Amino acid sequence: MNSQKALITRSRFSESNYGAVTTDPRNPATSAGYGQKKLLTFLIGSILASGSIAAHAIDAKVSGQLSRALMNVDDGRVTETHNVDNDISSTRFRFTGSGEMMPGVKAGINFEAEFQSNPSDLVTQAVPTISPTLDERVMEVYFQGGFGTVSLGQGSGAADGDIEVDLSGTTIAQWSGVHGIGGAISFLNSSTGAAVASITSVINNQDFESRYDRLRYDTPSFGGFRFAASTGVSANQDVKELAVTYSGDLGAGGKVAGAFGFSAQDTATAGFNQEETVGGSVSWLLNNGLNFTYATSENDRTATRKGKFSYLKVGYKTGNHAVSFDLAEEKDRAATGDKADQSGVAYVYTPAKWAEIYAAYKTHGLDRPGTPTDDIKILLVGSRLKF
Amino acid sequence: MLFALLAVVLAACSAKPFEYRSQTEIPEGPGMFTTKEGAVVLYSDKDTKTARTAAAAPTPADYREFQDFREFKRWREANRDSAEYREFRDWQEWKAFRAGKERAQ
Repeated sequence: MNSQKALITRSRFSESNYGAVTTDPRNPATSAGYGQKKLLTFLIGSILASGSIAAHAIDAKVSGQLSRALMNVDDGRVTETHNVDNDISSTRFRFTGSGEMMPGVKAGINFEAEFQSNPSDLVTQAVPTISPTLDERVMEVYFQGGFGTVSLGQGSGAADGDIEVDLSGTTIAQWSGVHGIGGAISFLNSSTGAAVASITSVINNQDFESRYDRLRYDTPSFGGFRFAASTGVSANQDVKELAVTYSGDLGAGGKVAGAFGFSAQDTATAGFNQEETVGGSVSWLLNNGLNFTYATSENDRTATRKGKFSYLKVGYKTGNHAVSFDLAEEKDRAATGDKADQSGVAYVYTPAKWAEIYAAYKTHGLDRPGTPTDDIKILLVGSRLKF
Repeated sequence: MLFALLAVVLAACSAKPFEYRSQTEIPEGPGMFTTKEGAVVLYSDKDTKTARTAAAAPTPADYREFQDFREFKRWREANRDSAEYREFRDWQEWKAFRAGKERAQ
């Protein structure tokens, strides 16, 4: 009963707000109809203020970046400088939007397209100019809540990026995707000068199935661990991917991020029904700026041959500066007995959060039994500006 | 090898999660001519919402009071003929009487 009295006492203070004195017949201003109108007004106001209907917490944004570089290539015979779009992180723009669809569930859209003139992974000594085209990267809707995230449409597969985890701060100039810079440049036969194989064809981080039209599910984070699965169609073939990622701040031990994934893609080749890729990467950034990155992957090239890729990077970050050295190697990607390698150094200066200026130098080599080839040397100087 | 793996697992268990973001994506943070949002905001109801909240929208305290009111209504329906409710009606009448008296003065 005491609680009821307290309730009455509290309600006295609410009378003027909510028309609580609706039972007072002598006061027309507090009649039932008037009180209900006020109550209705209050309810609508409460719902709007709480953002619990679709019309609230909605954002729609556009952003993008330009990523240009000069790429000097010495293939052993000819030295050319190409004006390229850095394919490690290309020129692109995006529209994003999200809103609370219902309490606890956010719905959103991602639309991202790239527009590359002379992509750094496609230009060659003979074809230095490639006209830009508008290419889709992401066109997806997603729903996010306590259950995780469900994404539908064109976008990253569950394992996309799992061979590319990197905390070095030099990723724009140097990363495990070594074919992103000069990928179409060919190794030349040391004796005849004939093209033997492109960089991409013999060394590639084999980062699963990239982006495609898929249905993807990501779990919430469990102590830094997330699990993901996706299924869809890429290059007219069914694809399935599974992945687990981790990122954790170890305090005095620095930060660690890692990922491990698996993908299977059907093939149209008789006797080679499914192309499987398995691999992962881990990157450790110490509080003193030292950082270490390792990546590895295996990808079915034929029914009997796998490309075996491995990558190691050691870097140092301080203030706006980051520098790193890397080594990469792949065996048997284009042909049994092939051994392609790469070594490089990179420096990235970040004078503002939206600006990076960088330089990188790397050397590619190919050991193919019976075929002597010249090394390829590439110097890259460029900038990425976010707008 | 086993000890190293165990050390990594133990370290991971005690770590605080952070959001890893690939550096190959459009960077987070401000852009060259965009604000700290890092994007041109085509539409956002945040400003409207903030203004409405500051001006007239009910506060969480209001909502708690509203819940109290609903509880009161339930109590009233259940105790319409009780002595306590009659006392409450008397109190209402007295309050109205006092207000009239004050206006007359």
